Amino acid sequence: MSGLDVRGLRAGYGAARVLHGVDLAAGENEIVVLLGPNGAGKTTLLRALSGLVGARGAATLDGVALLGRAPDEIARLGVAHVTQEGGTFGPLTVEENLRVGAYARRRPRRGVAEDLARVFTYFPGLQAHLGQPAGTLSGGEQRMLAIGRALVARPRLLLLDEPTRGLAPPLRSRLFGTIHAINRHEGTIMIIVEHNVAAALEVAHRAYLVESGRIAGLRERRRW
Amino acid sequence: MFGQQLLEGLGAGAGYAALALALVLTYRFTGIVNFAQGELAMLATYVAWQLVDSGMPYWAALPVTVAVAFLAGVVTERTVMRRVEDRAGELTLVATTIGLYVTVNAIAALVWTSALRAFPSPFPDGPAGVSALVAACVAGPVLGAVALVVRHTGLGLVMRAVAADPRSARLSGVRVGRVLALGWGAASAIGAVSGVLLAPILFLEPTMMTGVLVYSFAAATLGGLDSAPGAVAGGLIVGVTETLAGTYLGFVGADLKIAVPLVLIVAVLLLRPQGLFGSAPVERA
Repeated sequence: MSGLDVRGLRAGYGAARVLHGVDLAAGENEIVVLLGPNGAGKTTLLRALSGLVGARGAATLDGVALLGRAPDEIARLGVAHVTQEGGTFGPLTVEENLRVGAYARRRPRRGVAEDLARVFTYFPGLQAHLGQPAGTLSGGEQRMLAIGRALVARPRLLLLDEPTRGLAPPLRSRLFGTIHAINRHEGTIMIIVEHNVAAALEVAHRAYLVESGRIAGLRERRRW
Repeated sequence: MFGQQLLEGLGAGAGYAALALALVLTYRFTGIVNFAQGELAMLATYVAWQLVDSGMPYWAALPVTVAVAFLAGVVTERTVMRRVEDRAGELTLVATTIGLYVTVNAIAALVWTSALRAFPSPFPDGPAGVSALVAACVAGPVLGAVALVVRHTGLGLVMRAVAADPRSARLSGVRVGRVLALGWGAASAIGAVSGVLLAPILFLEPTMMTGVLVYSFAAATLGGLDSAPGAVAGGLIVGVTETLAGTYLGFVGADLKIAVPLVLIVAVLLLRPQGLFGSAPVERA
């Protein structure tokens, strides 16, 4: 089956179980939004898919099993995870940050120039800061850099954890516009954790409500 | 007399610089202050001695030793440090390297005994200054190569990424484990150069690098713990000041020489906490 298919996913931290059997699917070109209260397990779900926390159950991307692999291996299978913190490399320049993104690809040095050009069409603001250490960028710029770095990897599945957190409202809607454009042009499957429900639903094809580590509801686009 | 002292200082300084560079590399790329760095270098120096003693020419033994040291660094990371890196706090990591220090030291004493051995100089009959020139000739290219790799290659890029944020590097597809092992290997190889450079001056014994480690920490702190050129400059400065102070300041003499780098550390930390060449952290709040 193509796309992401998650069944009976259980995960937690040490003895604390956070996810109790999550079923979720994201088809070709789909944007899926995870909604729900803090502590429901949304972030843990993304972490389980990118290998940051161990998980049981099954998760496949285009039929390839993801669980039980190391994060770098999952990244090389086409999963890019932009964490809440963003995780840009502060001392490295903006350009170097973007270049690191290519290490999830089979040939990290081939076609990087095209990839960078592609990133700049979505985030033109980054171009002015190419030689600047990422640590000196504003919060919004760092977020864009983190997403840009993920795009350089040409991911099949992009996991975005609260991409608009801490951004001013006009920036938020602009970022969602960009996310939408990326999805349309690149065909990237996306799973987005977002508290800003209205903005998220505008671009989502499907929304899951996560509560206490379980899926408590599912809405398809045509029904909201 | 002064020129002679200066050369000797530079010769010792090149050795300190190499070990300081090894410390800085390990620190920058793995976030660990490796107290066993000097002992790994000592072990490599014994390997070099063994090779030369069994008839291998000095200049052939040197690259073999560096290669062995590289492997030893990789193996140490993969077998020992790997187990604590992800799970432990900084204190545990430091304690682990101190454990390594004691273990490696004991292994060397067990295999080669703690007898003093004379280490061959590549130019046994030359004047003392020659060893300093040799030291510079060996150390220079090594340091240059490291700088080149770190600044201008893909490997250097991923190493710096891993140093900045290992988790994000992993999420970007970087094989962090390999990078860390390579970092330990490279640091250990450079440390071996330090041991081989200093052994003709110090005599070979299991504790030969103990004092050197103190000097090299001083050098690394002086230059800035995260700066490779700083480590080199720091090493040379410490080597020269220590030698000159030991000779010209009557109250220092041979006994108080080891205090000189400590005074330097304190002075630098008071005036410029990030070291002479180190970078103050740049992070926008």
